[in-house]
Amino acid sequence: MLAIHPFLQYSEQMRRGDYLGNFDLMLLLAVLRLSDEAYGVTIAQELEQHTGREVVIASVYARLESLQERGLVTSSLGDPTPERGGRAKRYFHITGAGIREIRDARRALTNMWKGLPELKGEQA
Amino acid sequence: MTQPPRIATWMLKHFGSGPDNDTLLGDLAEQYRRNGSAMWYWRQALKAIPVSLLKEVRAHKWIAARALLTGWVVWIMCELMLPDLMRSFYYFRVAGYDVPYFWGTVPSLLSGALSGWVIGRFHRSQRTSVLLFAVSVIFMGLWWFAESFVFFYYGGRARYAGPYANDASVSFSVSLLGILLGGGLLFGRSNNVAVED
Repeated sequence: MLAIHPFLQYSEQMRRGDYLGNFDLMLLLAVLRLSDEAYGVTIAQELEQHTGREVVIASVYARLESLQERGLVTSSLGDPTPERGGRAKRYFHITGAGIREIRDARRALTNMWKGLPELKGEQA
Repeated sequence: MTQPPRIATWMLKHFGSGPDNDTLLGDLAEQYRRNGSAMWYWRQALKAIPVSLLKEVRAHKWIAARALLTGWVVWIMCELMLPDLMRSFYYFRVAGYDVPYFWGTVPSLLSGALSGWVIGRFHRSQRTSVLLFAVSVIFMGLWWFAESFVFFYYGGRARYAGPYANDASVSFSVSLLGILLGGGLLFGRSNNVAVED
């Protein structure tokens, strides 16, 4: 039997969404850090604080919905509040699978980082 | 100044797609009360519309394709049923240009409204489907407009380019308005239920 070409294997994994993108990984970390207070506004603020870039809240929801479909996060609706014009917050919670995914990503990135002289001492 | 910009809110309410649209409006209102930046609010609202539309289209590709096909078939059929002779009756000349009378735009408005209505009527994800069709009409209009303008301009018939540009832009704009009206996007809260396909 022919071995699957690595590129095709990679494409297939990307298509299935097996790999976490940079933004997805940061989202999962933000949800993890915020614990019970993780909803659109706080997640966007957490990301902005650590990346220094403005985050579009709609894209936070778009990606979190995709992560929810993969079983990496769950969500629940809070109570509507007057300061939000009577609209409810959607709280996100990380699942066991989400935590495993973060650990895997960290392990893979740490391994890739090892032995790269250009990245030592913030020179690159 | 605690009330968010009304037009931006209206646009997001009517053109934003997906089940999280209401939650997003709440998030924007909450954050606006803190930072008070109308520019920030506008940026977030305007970027949210294409982001949510793309997300919904990706999630329901077949329904999106069906909505586009339905819309274009209805729109083209309506446009074919309006003979050029009848259309030319509706124009008058100002400074060498053909300008449509108010009622001259009615056929375009009707073809847009009918296609918008048919899409909205037969697709549960009404807002996404109608908006997607409207976007496709904008792109098609721009392409058609540019291609025809170049054809006239470089084909030695530059004097027709102005009237044609005027005719095409009025027809497409009015048709677009018809799509949004017929699809129920401009008035009331349309059905925005995500579709299970």
